[in-house]
This record gives sequence, C-alpha cells and structure tokens, in this order.
Amino acid sequence: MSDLAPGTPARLFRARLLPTVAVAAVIAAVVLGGLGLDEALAAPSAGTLDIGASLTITAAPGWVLDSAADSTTSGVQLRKADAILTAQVVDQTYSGDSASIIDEAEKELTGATAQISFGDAHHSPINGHDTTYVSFQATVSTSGRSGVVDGEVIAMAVGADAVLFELAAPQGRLSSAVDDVTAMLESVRVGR
Amino acid sequence: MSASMEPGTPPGAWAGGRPAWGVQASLIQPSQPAFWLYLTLLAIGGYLFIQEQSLMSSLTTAWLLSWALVIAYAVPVAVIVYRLDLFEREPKLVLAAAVVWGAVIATSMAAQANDAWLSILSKVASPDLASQWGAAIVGPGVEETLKLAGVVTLFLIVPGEFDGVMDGFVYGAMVGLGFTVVEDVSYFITAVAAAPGTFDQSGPVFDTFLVRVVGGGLYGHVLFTGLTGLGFAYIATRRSVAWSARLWRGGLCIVAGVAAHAIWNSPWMEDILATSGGADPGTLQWLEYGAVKGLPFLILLGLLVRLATRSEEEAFRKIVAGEPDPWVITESEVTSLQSLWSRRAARAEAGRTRSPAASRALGKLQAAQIEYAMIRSRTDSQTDPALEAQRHKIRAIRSEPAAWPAPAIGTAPAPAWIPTHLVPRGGIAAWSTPDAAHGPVTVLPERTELIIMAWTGNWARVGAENGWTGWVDGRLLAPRR
Repeated sequence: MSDLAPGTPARLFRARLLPTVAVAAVIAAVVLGGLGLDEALAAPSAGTLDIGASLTITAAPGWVLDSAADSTTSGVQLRKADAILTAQVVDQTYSGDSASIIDEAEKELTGATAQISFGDAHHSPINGHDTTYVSFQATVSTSGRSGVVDGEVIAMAVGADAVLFELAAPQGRLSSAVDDVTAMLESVRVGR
Repeated sequence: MSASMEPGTPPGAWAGGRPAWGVQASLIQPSQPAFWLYLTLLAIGGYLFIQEQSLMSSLTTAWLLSWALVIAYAVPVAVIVYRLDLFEREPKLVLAAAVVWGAVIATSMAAQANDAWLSILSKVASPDLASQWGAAIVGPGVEETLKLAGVVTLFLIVPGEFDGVMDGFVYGAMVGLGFTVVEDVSYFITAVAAAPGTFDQSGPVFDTFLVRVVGGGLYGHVLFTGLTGLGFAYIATRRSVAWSARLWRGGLCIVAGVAAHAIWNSPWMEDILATSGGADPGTLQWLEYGAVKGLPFLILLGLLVRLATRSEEEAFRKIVAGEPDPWVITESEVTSLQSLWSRRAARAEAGRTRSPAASRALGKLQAAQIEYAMIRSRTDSQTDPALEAQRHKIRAIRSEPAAWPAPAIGTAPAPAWIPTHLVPRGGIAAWSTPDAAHGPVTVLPERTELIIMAWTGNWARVGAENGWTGWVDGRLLAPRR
C-alpha cells in the first residue's frame, strides 16, 4: 500500500501539520511579533531638557514629560508607563556632599508622607559627580485611594548645584525603570 | 476498540451515539506534529523558567515559603477540577502536561510578550493609557492567547481525550492553575524584593498571599482559562451542532474568559479598597473587591459546568442503557451516580442506615459501575469478555456480606422486581451459604419465580419476591420466558 493512501501515518501527519503550524504561528505572533514590533516602533522621548539654570538631562527612550506634573515644580517630571521621575535643582550654591542632600530629602519626605520607610543609603559617583541614593517604600493616598509605591531618592552634587531625583512606581514595578534612570543620570551635563 | 481509536477518526468521535470514554490516550504521540511543538516550547520555556526561578531562589526563605503556599492552594484546586469530571477522568499525564504548559511555557512566553505589548501600547497610544489600562488590555490578550494555545495543542496531541465540553474546562482550568501558581510565586518574591530592608522575607509573602490567593484566588486564571477552554471544546466537539452556532456559542465563552481577565485587571471599582489615612485595605475589603469583580464570571462558569455535566449524565445514561441484568446497574443507581454530591449522599446514607462497611461497599460498587460504563463505551458487544468480567465484579461486590442483604444498595428505592428464572419441575434445594458441606435449609417449590443476584462458581444467589434470599445450584434454574 502506498504511504500516501488515505489513513496512512504520513498523510495523517500532514493533515495535522496545518493546525499545529497555525498554533505555532499564533504563539510566534504574540511573542516574537510583540518583541519585533516594539523594537521597530520608535519610543517617544522628551529629548534633552533643562534642569535649573545650568544643567541638562537627556530623557531615555519612552520617557516623556508628564502632563499631570505639578506646574509649580521647579524642575522636570518625566513618565514612562507608571514610573515617574522628577529632577530638580534644590540649591545652586551648594558646598556640601550628596549624603547631606539625601538626609535633608529623607526628612522632608518623612514629614510629607504618612507612611514611608527608607533603606540604607549608598554612595556611588556617576560621571565623576558625587552621588548618593536610597530606596524607599511609601503608602500614598490620593482622592480616597491608597497604594504602596516603591522608589528611590538620588542626590547628586554637580559643581555648585545640588540636584535631587525622585523615582517612584507602584509596588513591584520599579525594577523595569532602574536601567533607564541610570542612563539618564549619566546624561546629566553642565551647560546648555 | 471503538472507531475513535482509529487513526484519522475525527476527535471527540462518538461510537453509536455514545462518547468513547473508555479509551485513555497517551501523551507520548510522536506521530502528532503538535507533540513536537509541545516539546520544543517546553525546552524554550523550561530554560527561561529555570533562569527565573534561580534568580528568585536567592531569597531562599521567601522562595520556599512561596512555593509551599501556592502548592497548598493548588493541590486541592487540582483535585476538585479533576473530580468535577464525573465519569471519564482525564489521563493524569495529559493533565500534568496541561499544568506544565501553564506553569512553564505560558508564563515564560507571557513574561516576554507582556512587556513588549505594554511598551507598544505606550508608544502608539499614550503612557497614561498604558499605565492605567495596560494590565487590562495587554494581560488578557497575551496571556489568554498563550494559555488557550496550550489547550489547543493538547487537543491536537490527544484529540480522543476531548469527548465533550467538560474536558475543555478541565484542561483549561489545569493550564490556568499552572499559570497562576508560577505567577503568584513571582508576585510574592517581587513583594519581598521591593520591601525596604531584607530582614523579613515571610511578611510580604503572607501579605501578598492574602491579597492574591485568599482575596482573589477564586477569580484568577483557573476561572479565565476554564471558560476559554470550555468554549474551545464546544467548538471542537459539538459536531452535532451547526458550525456557525458552534462558533458563536463557543466564541462567546472564549470572549467571556478574556473579559473576566480584563475586568479583573482593570482599575474599575478600586474605591472598594479605599482606606483612611493611607492604611492597607483589609482582608474583607479584598474579599468584597474580588467578589464584585469576579463572582459574576464564577457563577457563569458554574452554570456552564453544570450544563456540561448534564450533557455527560445523558451520555452516561446512553452508554449503560440496555443492560439486561438489573443487578449490574439500576435506574436509581444511574441517577445517584450523576453528581459527586449524590454519590456521596448515597454512601453517607448507607453508612448511616446500615454500617460503615456498607458505605465502603457502595463506594466500590459506584467505582465498578463507572468502570463498567467505560468498558461499554468502547464496545458494541454485550458479550464482550471485559464487559462480562466487569458484570461479574459488580455482582461479587453486591454479594459481599457488608452490602447484602439489604433492600437495595444506596438511597434509591429497589428496582422493580422482575423475575428472570423459575424453579424447575420437582423443586430444588436451597442453602443459606454457597457451601455444600452444610445441609440445605429448604426446598423451593417448582415454578417459584426467582431473580439471580450473584454467582459464585455454579452457585447462584437467588431472591424471591417476598424478600427471601438463598443459594441454589444455578445450573438447574430454568430461564423465565
């Protein structure tokens, strides 16, 4: 009997190949298609922005100016998905170190937030600028809703400018923003 | 062997108007392309899964505690889902493959795809939309597709195991269970990693367990994929229904599963979780939140599973119909086998009114009767040796002292008394036990109408209409015409 006769294994294998290929194609479209399309689409970016009078920062791909930002903030507020980064110059005639800036920031945040706890401070220069950072977890309430956010406060002494960065994201979603923020900290430059 | 066992027979084929329940297929099907697809994806997913778990296991206490908690949740859920399939329980290896698909393949693929599609949503729509609705839009689309692909792949590997809608629910729920177990572990570990300081690894795990499993465990992936799997099985197995109607109804179930996931992930009704002073929502708030968002879909799934069960009950009736010996299975016993609750109630009643041994004997009888139906489903011959052997086994169970004498086993009333044999001319001797060493206890007058209840060798246990029972030489009895 021919191997291609009806009901033979080879014919059945071929008949069942088509639906299997269809399933594989759907999985590939969801996974590889998503990865490929994401790679192909250019991420919007806020580009290079001024912080204070003499510093600039370059937003990483996907980070845009936050439309919901408080307009009175003297700095910039960037957003990507549900992560928010604010950057502002807190002192333009600063002579101390970044650890002191962090201490002040911790006190201010503790006073302004009902529940907040900080981790240990770490010192790690970035591009030669004195930098200290500390992680925190806080419970925040807005409009009757509350939630837990994870975040980092980063202080950088750039010349005479004391710069403070605050990164926050809903609990468990901070890690995806950390690499971007590191790149943005490395992009801080003096002069326009 | 039924036609459904033959290569090329349409999946879910019914032989002679009955499902081919008695056939259990192996997962190992090298002749099926889908089998190789499964293995390939398992290799890829397994690699990603091991990497992820290795990373998490650096928080040893939290990781071990997380797995202990999710296993404590998953085992009873798996048993319940398995036992909801009342008659033909699915092969354990295929069920394990469903769990592994959800746990290893779907989670690993979804982890990659979710981030990519969230980023795409952020780029083509807005970061705000991605932030607020990304989980509700991307999660259901990506995850339900990947999980349902698992059900479809298993269907392509072992089409004969998809006899009805219920099977789609069982395999879908198992895929969902595997997914939720691994996803929960990931959430628990993330909560620990995100907590400031690393002194307490167990607190964040327990907190997240309360929210995700205690508060929302009923409304998770088991529900979502149970619905989509049920919808797929409807399309694939209800061949007596017009194609368009199958597509429409099954499609609605699939949409319901995706919608349940989307609503669960959406920010709707978060006011329920509002607290004063920024305190964490309480367990009751989480329970209420879960019930409002998930309960309607759970009720829908319950109704659909009930309908699927009714369909299986009808199939069971068709299979066992026409059994000539009323002592193999009675109408009332068919009724009492139709749900886990009625089976349990019958056993409890036997235990309460007679003895614990009678309850156990009834349990054995129920199992033997279901096995009898499995054998009947794969043969068209009433005299099939396997069927005869099973009948003999059932009669033997009925003749056990614990189960007899009694008006009838179970809560159901005794079947109508229809004599099958007559005492021959001259009468015959009768014994109280099937043992010729003892003398006969009486002589039955000729033409006495009897029913045969059990056989032991040539000894037949017979019953008379007035309730008398005893043992006679069965070879001497004359069939009643």
